[in-house]
Amino acid sequence: MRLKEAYIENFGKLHKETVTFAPGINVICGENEAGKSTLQEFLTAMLFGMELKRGRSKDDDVYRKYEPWNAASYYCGTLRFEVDGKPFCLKRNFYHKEKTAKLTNEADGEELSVEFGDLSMLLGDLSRSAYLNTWCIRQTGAVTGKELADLLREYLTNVENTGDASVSFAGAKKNLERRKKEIQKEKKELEQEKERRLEELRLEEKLLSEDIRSIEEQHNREKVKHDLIMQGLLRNESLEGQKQKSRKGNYTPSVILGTAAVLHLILFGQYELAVWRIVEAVLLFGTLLFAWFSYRKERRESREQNRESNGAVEYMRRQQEEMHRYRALEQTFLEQKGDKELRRSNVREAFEEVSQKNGRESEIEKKVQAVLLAEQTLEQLSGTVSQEVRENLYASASQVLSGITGNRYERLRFDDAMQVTVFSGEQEIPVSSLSRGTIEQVYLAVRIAAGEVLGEEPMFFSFDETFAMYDEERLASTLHYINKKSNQVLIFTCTTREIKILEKNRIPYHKIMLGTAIG
Amino acid sequence: MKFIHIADVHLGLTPDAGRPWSERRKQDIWDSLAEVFQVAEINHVDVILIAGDLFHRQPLLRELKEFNYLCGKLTHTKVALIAGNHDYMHPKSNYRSFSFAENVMFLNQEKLMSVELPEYQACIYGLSYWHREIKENLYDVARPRDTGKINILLAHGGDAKHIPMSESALRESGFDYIACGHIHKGGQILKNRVVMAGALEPTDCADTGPHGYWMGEVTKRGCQVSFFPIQKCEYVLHRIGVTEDMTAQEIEEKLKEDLKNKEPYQLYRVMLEGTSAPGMQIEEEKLAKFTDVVSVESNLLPAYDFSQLKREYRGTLLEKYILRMEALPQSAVTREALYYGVDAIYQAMEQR
Repeated sequence: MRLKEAYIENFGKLHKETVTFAPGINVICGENEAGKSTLQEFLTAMLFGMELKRGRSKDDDVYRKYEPWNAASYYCGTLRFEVDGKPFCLKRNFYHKEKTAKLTNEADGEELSVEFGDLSMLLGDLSRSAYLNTWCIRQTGAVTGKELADLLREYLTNVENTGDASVSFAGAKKNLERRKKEIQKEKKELEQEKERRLEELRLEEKLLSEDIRSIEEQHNREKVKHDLIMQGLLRNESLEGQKQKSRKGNYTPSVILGTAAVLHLILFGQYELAVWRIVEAVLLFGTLLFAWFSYRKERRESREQNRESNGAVEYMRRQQEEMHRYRALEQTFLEQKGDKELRRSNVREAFEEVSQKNGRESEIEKKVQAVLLAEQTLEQLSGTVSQEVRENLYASASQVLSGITGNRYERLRFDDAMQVTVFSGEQEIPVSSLSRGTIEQVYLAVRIAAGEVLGEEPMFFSFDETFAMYDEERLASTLHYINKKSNQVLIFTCTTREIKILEKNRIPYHKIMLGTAIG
Repeated sequence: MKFIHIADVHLGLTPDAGRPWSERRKQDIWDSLAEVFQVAEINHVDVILIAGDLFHRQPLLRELKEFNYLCGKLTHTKVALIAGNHDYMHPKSNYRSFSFAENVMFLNQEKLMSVELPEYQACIYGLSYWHREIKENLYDVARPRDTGKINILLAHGGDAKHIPMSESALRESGFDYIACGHIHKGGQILKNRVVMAGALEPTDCADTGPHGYWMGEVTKRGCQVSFFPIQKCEYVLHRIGVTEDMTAQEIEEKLKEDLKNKEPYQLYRVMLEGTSAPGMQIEEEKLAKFTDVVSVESNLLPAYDFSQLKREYRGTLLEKYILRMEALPQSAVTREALYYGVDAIYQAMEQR
């Protein structure tokens, strides 16, 4: 493809501007802000169209960036070009409400359809992104040699993996990896929440089981005791206690008797009056009598009791009492145990339920599967570039490299260890140990080669300040090389360096001044 | 005969276990039951029909006592009850030994049984679950014995593992009213004839929509029944439509605004739907912390127009990826994988 003329009705800062292109080298000069980038964006938009991308941040939206602020419907332009010697005219209106694209073969006036892919066919099915990553070469922006070497390696990896240089394969993989991690994190949180819940239930179950065991133990102890009582081997203490209390004797008479005897001993001989002696004798006699009766009474009671406790009736009564006591106790134990067991089985049921997969888990499981499928598919799609294309790419890149370096470097290689090397005539040198300027040239060689090898239709090269970091010698040899190529070349520059060197080396070129009218 | 029909009360359940409001919700369930009994008392309702799953699991003795107390307090109303799949007649179930108040009619047999209500010329049929699952269509063959009476069937089930029911069989069955339970979302299966009560209270946040009881009157000439919501708590599936020109901030503000306008008893399950701008991050956790928001789910898909992407990126990995994915048998997983991959590749292109 060769560009002939561009007419810009309204596009960013360019208004009603006509630019004529010559075959071979075109140098587009202009100060910063003169509209060089605008022209470049215009060419890209003309060739590949431009969509109003909704919902994107405003600053990287090309449509909005170049949209005329006062005449939206005149957001349009014309591009004349040649493919295989046939002249075409492409008119586009970018205004999103009146979007049109009209492609005419100017030789026979035949109208072609952009919509049905006629323009794509003329471009050899080149995509916008592939174009931007091959034919359209901008200043790398890489600051150090190492950054540049990394950029080169990444570029080659992408070309090798995807065959189109437009996608950062590693970037895509990294993005997917990040997504996978997010999903896995979500899954893990879900699992932890579930585990926490299960742990609570486990604890509840354990406590209930312990309760049940302790009830059982208590029950067993009571049962053993009960059996012993029933066999008469153990007296029921709780029943015994009451009886003993009632058997407490009456000791009052003995106390009185004792006191009287002591009094008599102390006071003996002091009794002057017989009256006192009589009183003492009466008291003594009374006390003795009382003691005797008390003793008789107690003996009778105790004899009666003995007779009863040894008797069958008393034995039966006590056994029965024990039975009642034990039955009531057993009933309580069984009730308590039953209640706890029921609660335990309810807890176990809840445990089963929580263990089962729930809706959120299946949802996350689906996401995990999806991200794995995406990863696998991406992996499969990589490495689709054929060995033949690969060899062509490196052969072509080596050729370009030797061309632009004046045969100083040749044979570019990219080995399995992701190491890029060039051959200097004597030895293989890893790219990372070359000077920054040379790496820049290697990168340029690779991109030029990629455009030629991967595309079908030879396009025009577009160098946007690409050579700003080149020294004079490198720039001269590069310009010599691209002059020898049959492709049309657009060099966008804000200095006069390129022109001076072109003049000095007597390389023919066409100069286009932009923005002369713009202050 | 005036009746109230409820089901799936799930007493003893702790809904949304682990969440701050779950204890309150547990009490709500008991309160709602008490409320229904009070309504029955005030309105002089003749019978309360409980179509299974009164309890969430095997009832504890004290829980049965609580329930029985509510029944015993009724001065006029009778209570008819069956055991459902959740509170089925386990061999050790307290249901087997508990003696209910005199006005409680517990249809506890495994086979279809009935109890007569001579004062209303009515007969209530029903059976109880003795196992967790019953796969036979037991209700489809149920027929009332005496068609001269008001015949009511208490039915619990309606899915494959819990007594499947066929609408046509129920229509032909000859019952004057079929009080169904088990499915938590209530509704009239056949208007004024067969009614799925729905859970009295939502049992978890999946039970969205209103819940409550049905009250009506059944005679030999027909039946009239209507729904009465209990508004202690209602889970609302609140959808927020998102378009690709909305920012995360906008979505947040929209939710805040919506929360202001909701009823106080409502809890929101927020569902973000629609498309989002590629690369936009919405912090779901942040939204989920808003008061009265139970959960936030995002079903947003980045706004990719695949046919446009294929055109714009012809011959690139992006196009190849889309084609490969579209060639696979389509499922929810491949659809999701398509978005993941396209997003990853597209973002990688943007990053350059």
